[in-house]
Amino acid sequence: MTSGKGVKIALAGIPNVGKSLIFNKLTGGRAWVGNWPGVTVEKKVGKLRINGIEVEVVDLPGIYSLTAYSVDELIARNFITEENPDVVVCITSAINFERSLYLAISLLELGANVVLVVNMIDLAEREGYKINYEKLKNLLGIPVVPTVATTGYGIDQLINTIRKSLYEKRRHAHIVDYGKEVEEAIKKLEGLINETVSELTSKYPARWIAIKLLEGDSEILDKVAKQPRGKVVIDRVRSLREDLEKSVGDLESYIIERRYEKALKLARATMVKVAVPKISLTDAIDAILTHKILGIPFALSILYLLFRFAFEVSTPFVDIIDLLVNVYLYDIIASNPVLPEWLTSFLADGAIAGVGTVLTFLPLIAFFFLGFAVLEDVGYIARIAFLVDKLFSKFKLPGKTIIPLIIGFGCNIPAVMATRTIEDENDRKTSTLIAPLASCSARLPVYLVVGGAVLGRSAGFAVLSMYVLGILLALLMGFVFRKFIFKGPSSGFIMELPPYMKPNISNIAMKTWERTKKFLFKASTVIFLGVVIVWLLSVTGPTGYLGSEHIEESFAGIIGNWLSSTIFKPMGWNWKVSIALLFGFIAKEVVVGALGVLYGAGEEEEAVKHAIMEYQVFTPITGYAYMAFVLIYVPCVATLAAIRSELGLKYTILALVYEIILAYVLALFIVGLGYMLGLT
Amino acid sequence: MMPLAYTRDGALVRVVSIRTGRGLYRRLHELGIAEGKMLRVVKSQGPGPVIVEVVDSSFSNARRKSSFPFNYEAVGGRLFLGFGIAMKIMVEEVMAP
Repeated sequence: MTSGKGVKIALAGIPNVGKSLIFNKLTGGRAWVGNWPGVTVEKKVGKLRINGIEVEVVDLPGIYSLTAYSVDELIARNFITEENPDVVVCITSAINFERSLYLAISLLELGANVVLVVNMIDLAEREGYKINYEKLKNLLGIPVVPTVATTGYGIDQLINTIRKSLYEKRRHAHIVDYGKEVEEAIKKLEGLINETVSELTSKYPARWIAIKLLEGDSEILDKVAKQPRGKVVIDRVRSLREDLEKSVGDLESYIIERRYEKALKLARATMVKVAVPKISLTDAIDAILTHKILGIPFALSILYLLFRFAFEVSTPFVDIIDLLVNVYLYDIIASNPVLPEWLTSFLADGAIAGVGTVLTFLPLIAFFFLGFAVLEDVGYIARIAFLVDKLFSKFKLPGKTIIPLIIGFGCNIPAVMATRTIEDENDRKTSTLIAPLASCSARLPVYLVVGGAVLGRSAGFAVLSMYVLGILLALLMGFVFRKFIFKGPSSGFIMELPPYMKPNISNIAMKTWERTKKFLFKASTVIFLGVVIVWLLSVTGPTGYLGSEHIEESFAGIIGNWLSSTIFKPMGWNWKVSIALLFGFIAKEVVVGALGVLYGAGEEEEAVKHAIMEYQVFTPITGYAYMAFVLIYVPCVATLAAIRSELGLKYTILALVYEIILAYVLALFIVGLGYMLGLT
Repeated sequence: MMPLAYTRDGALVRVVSIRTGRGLYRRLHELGIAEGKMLRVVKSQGPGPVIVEVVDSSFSNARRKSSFPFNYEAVGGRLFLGFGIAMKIMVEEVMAP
């Protein structure tokens, strides 16, 4: 450890090894979350205190290797070489030991001061395996700590080991023997590198540069070529590669193969079977849940249960928040004698009504994500991706796209952010653009009110059809985007499929909170801004401030009238429902509240429903078209902001425009079809 | 020889060739899916995505007892390969399910 500069450690590991949980245990769950510079890959940084020293803990992306092919891997290796963390904690999984060790070996070759964590040892033991940690430690020459992150076992020992490793740097770059010929070439190159491009060796071990050059690593080739005498090295690499490929074949494959063999050997030497495992429960469950035919109905039932759970359990909480914010707080502000009228109106009708609406969704969204996190933690969500992959591939989308779409049923904001886990850039951008088509929980009240008012006994079916329509449109638009905008073949996707596991409470709590937090954060910032704009539009008109009683003469009223007399004319929507759509821009549920206010029925859903029936606002067809329009047109402001932070302004505008057009065309189509069938 | 996407549940196959871009080719190698390697098809939507296990047939101390007449060792966790990738990996069936 060098004194004077901040002490820094990094956590690395392949996906599904429990890295986030260990990060949380080390840092107490408090983390600063941002992006790695220049890319939308999440960066988490926390603090750990060891003996009064403050240690910065950086969570690296989940990776399998350290190549230049993937953004995540480049981030990890650049962090290790540029920021030179004092310790790199490599977390391995005892139930996916070989692949974990491959990464550990790659980290050692890069010259990192590695502490190896073997996590999930309880699961390996259940499968009848024991790992000889002492032997592993000796073979690798680095500290090894067994842990069970879910129970916290081994975390203290890990902290202790990190503390010791801060002072004892172990470098073990020569970990794999690449065979006589290749080793000779590496040695020659190492010498040449030390002589000619010594600037680079302050960052990377010469041996690592040599290996990467032989592997044909584009980034390192570039870096060497940029050095004043780099060309000498590059030429040498070329001739060495040619010679070597005559005897070992494709050199890159050969080097990977040797490294892989080393990982296998280490695993074999240190893992011993002590008992015969019981029949795999995973196989038994998967026989049904990933069954070609039975799998889909099961998935639908499970998702339906997830919805029921979220709605039923959150109801009392929603009522409490509604009462506190929309009734008590509203009354206090609205009836205050001190503030000027416009400010009272802004606070009560603008801020509290808008933010209150959003807040009432908090319990629903939190419980939805709680249920989702349970499904994710037991390992079921990955199976759903498998089930739909074939169908989705017909639309040029990877099966993984289903994950943001399901999250989108809860809230579109975390859904947009969840598209980050899709590796292929074209696939990812496409998913980000279609994710808002998943019918989020804020749209449901609109369906219930409008559908309930005008569709009678088919209301339930109509509501369900909105969810199906959302997914169908997502697939279709996905196909269109993939075919015309984000062209090119998909690089496809590979996903590790962990065995089914008992859900872990702290893991679930963490994931639920992370997603809910995204909703809360965006909601509280962006939606507030939206509220201000909409409030301004509805209380001011060409004549100035009007107050909240004269909405028809306000700018919003003028816009509503204009909309209903021109573009919404074919749909037969009056000015009130047209303005409600404008207000729905903040959050879709606001549409219900706005209709309630405009028809003088209050915000109570039942009352709004009756008002719509009484005033005969819609026919069944125009009502259904209205529901479809609400499903598709602009996602709420907060979702747009999320899209913007993922894809930039240009694609946000694209999302906005395509959704408005799609919503309009579809609503027109529904009305037209109804007219043709004589339903009006 | 056929694409991995066309295999049946429970078949044991050997990888003959991988026809993908360089990055994916390398990723597959690092996960243990390389020419000459054996895979067990755990689940296939034939033709469609597959779930496979990389098999180390040289190891006699079986971790998961298979339904095959010989013991094999699964290397690492199971992998779910999307339809697209499964079409690009050519395999031959070594043992029918």
